[in-house]
Parts: sequence; structure tokens; C-alpha cells
Amino acid sequence: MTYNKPTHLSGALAEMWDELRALAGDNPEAAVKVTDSSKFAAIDALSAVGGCNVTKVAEGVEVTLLFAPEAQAEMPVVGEVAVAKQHKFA
Amino acid sequence: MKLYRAENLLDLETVKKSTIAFLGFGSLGSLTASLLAYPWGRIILIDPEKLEADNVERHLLGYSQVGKPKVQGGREWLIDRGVEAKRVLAIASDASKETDALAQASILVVSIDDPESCYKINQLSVNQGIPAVYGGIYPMGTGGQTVILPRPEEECYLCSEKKMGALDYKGKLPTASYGVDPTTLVNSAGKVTAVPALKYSIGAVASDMAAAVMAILSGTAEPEILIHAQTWEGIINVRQGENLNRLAGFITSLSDLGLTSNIRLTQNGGGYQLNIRKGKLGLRLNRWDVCPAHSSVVSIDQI
Repeated sequence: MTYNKPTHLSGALAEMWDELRALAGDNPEAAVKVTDSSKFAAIDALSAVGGCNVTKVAEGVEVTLLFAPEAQAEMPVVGEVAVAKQHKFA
Repeated sequence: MKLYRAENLLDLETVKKSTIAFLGFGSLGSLTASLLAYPWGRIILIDPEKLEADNVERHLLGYSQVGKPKVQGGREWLIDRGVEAKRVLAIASDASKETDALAQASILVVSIDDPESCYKINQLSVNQGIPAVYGGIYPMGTGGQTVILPRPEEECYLCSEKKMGALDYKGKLPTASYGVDPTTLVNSAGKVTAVPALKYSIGAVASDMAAAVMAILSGTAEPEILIHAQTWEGIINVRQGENLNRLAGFITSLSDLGLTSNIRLTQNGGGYQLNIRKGKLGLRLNRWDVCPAHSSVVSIDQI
């Protein structure tokens, strides 16, 4: 596993990802607790573009970083439906 | 039938000269029909089943109709709303067997669980060139879809099933739990059955279907699969690259503008997945290049 920053992050999102990565330190996959509420909006925005997962906790939020996917070759072509919704009822 | 609140909204002339056929009168079909209770030239209701007590929670009809054919109750409901009795034909039968009745229709509104029946109806729709709208609800009511086919001889239901990946699963039983025991998703004949979903989720798709019918009749509809998501629903996969960058920028802009976003990206294998909730997105529908429903159609030019 390599811990590269997702390539589609730029500007403030990339900065927030870097900040969280620094907080995670030696264990990039570790959950990082953030209590500074001024950062919550940016963290939410980062989460909305697949840069991290966020869980609300009593003190603030717990953030787990997401990294650039590696298995690009296995990715279906652009535009292919993401979830086969084969089971429907009427 | 007199209307008081539809002036300049409903093309009454088109409605009056059209025959609309509702194939399947379950929760989705009945709610869709209720949204289209207008003075059609003819309304055809087709469903083989009788209303059962456990249908009532989500169905248009109530306990007073339990034990009667659903289409009979539907016919009575429409008449009670002012539709002329002579214009409503109720057929308590399997829709795929009622080809003569369906051939008279100007548009088909299909809300049937069984894929095989849908494929048979689709073939008729393709062969006869009858526009169609198909609806379906995802288990647990996480969302649903409306397949809009204004020109089935060009893009049909099988094309949409191919696009949605459903054909790859043909013949297999549900394996995902959806939060419920998967064996409850199929009946003794192996057919997919209704599963938990709240009525408002079903009503949202019914509303889309009704709007699609009117769009087709007004000539403004394009072939598409309209996905209506209640909770987060994966729509399409996106590789890393320019499209992903643009999507990320768009989502960030929504947040910057103080808008609550109903769109997000999640990682999916080697790339990302575009998800939506509390809204809908239309997938453009193109003809499946080897669609078996179209291969039997011979154009004038080929003769």
C-alpha cells in the first residue's frame, strides 16, 4: 500500500489532506481526532470528494484519510453504471 | 371528466385521443395511475393479482378492496375521480399475454417485478413502436429508476437493462442482504418480490413516471434512465483524470456556496464512484449495439 494523495485534490482540499496526513504521523491509516470546529467544513468538503472518511464523535470529528487508488487497471470504463441495480420491484 | 386546475399545464387534446395502458397495478403502478387520472381516450389497467391486506400499506387502494382484483379496485378509484366508466378497461391477467389490448395503446406504463414479463412487453413495444415508461424501486426504498423510452424501436428496455448491468445477473438470485434476509426477496417460483420500502420512496418514482408519460406525449422526452436516490446511491464510475478533477471542483464549489450537497465521490476499486442522494440524475440511454430486441426488427431499407 502506498499512501499517495488523491490526484484530484487541489487548493484548500489538498492543503487539508496534507494537514491531516501530518497529524496521522507514522500511521497514515490511523483515525485522527479533530476538535477545532473551524476545520469541520473543510473536512466535510474533503470527505465529499473521496479524500477522507469522517465520523462524528463527542469531541468533534474522527477522520481517516483515503489515498490515491492503485488498481486503476481494474476500474471500469468511464460512465459505466456504478452499481448494478438488478433487483427491483414495482 | 372536468378539470379545474390543469389549464395551460395539460395538453388535453393529446390526452383525450391517447390510450394509456398501466401494466402492473401494484404499489408503484397504482400510485402512478393515480397521478395520471385524466380524461384519456382510454385507460387500460392490467394486473393478474388480487389486493391483499399486506399491500394496503403502500398501495393506492384500501382495505375495502382487499380480496378483489387490483385492477377492479383501480377502475373504481378512477371512476370515483371523475373518469368516465366506459373509458376504463380493467383486465385481471398477466400483461405479457394481453398483446391485443396492448397493441391499441399509445403509451405503456410498466410497473412489473418480473423481468421476463418486462422483456416480452418490451418486444411488443419495439415491434409496434409504442413508447413506454418502466419503473422500479430498489430494495429498502433507497431509490428507484424510471426508464423513459419515447422511441423503443431505437432504444428499448433491454438496452436499459444492459446499461444498468442487470442482464449480467440474469438467472441469479439476490445475494446482497439489503438489511433483510435475502431469501425474502424471492418467492417460491424464484421471482423477485416486494421488499421493505416506504411509500414516499415509491411515490417519488411514481411521480417521475407520471412526468415521463406527459413528456413523451408532448414530444419532449429523450431516452434515459432516471435514477431517483433517497439515500446515497452509486450512479457511475469515474476514473482518475480530468473528469474526476472537474467533478471534485464542482462538488467543492457547492460547499463553498453554502449549498448542501447531494452529490459526492467515494472510492470504488481503482477509481471513484459518483453518488447522489435526495435527488435524481438521468443516465443518457443509447442503443445496445447487439440488443436482441432490435435484431428482429427489419427496416424498410433492409427489405
